[in-house]
Amino acid sequence: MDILIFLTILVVTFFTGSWIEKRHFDRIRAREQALPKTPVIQCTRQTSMPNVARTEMVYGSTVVGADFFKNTLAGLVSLFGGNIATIESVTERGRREALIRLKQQAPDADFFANIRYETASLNAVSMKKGLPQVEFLAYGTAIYLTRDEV
Amino acid sequence: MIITNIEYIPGKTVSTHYGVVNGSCVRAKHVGRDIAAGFKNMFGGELRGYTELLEEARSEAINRMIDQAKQAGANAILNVRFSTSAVTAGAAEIYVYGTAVRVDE
Repeated sequence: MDILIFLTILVVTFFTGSWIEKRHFDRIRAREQALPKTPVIQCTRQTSMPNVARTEMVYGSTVVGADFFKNTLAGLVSLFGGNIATIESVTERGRREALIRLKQQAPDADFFANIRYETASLNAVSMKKGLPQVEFLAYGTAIYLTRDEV
Repeated sequence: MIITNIEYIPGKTVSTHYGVVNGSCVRAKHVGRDIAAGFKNMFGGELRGYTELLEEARSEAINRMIDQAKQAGANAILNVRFSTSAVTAGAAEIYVYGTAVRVDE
């Protein structure tokens, strides 16, 4: 009986999980296209940073969880070793989502400097029970350049 | 108060250095949210409740850092870094730190 419940949940979460993930990826792609193609750089000291009008700190974050099916599969894969593709897609979603939210805070910025990513597991202590919940944070500095009069 | 995570402010010079300032905030997830998020977690997707919670905690931590910098007499914080950790089950700590300075034109 217990195994039946387990299998039912496994099958249901497989469908809900992949459906939600597909929808999320569609949404991410659509928003990435809609955003201006602002350069994102990782360095702090530009060789030349002329005409800077102002700077502003921006950040975006999201908490993404892996569903029951993904987690069960990950547990299975970790018995044999190898890449856990189902979890890789979760982290990719989280990071892209975080960067989108960061960019949305400063849509008019000329570029973003010193972008950093931070990842934190929210249930690190109670790892034994519960599904992975991970926070992805992206932060950086939006740089606005002075506009030359045209 | 200018806050940035780069090490200088373009076009401005640092005149006084006040050392590291920091702010932290430990916030618990409340039970209702926990149950809702646990349910959502099972089926997949973003856990919005937690995203909001951490966002609130983060702005609280930033405010505490700003207060500390103001008390020191600074007008900018440079090289800001964030860090998040789960200190106990059900609570997250947001820690933010940076260097308080006075900048002049």
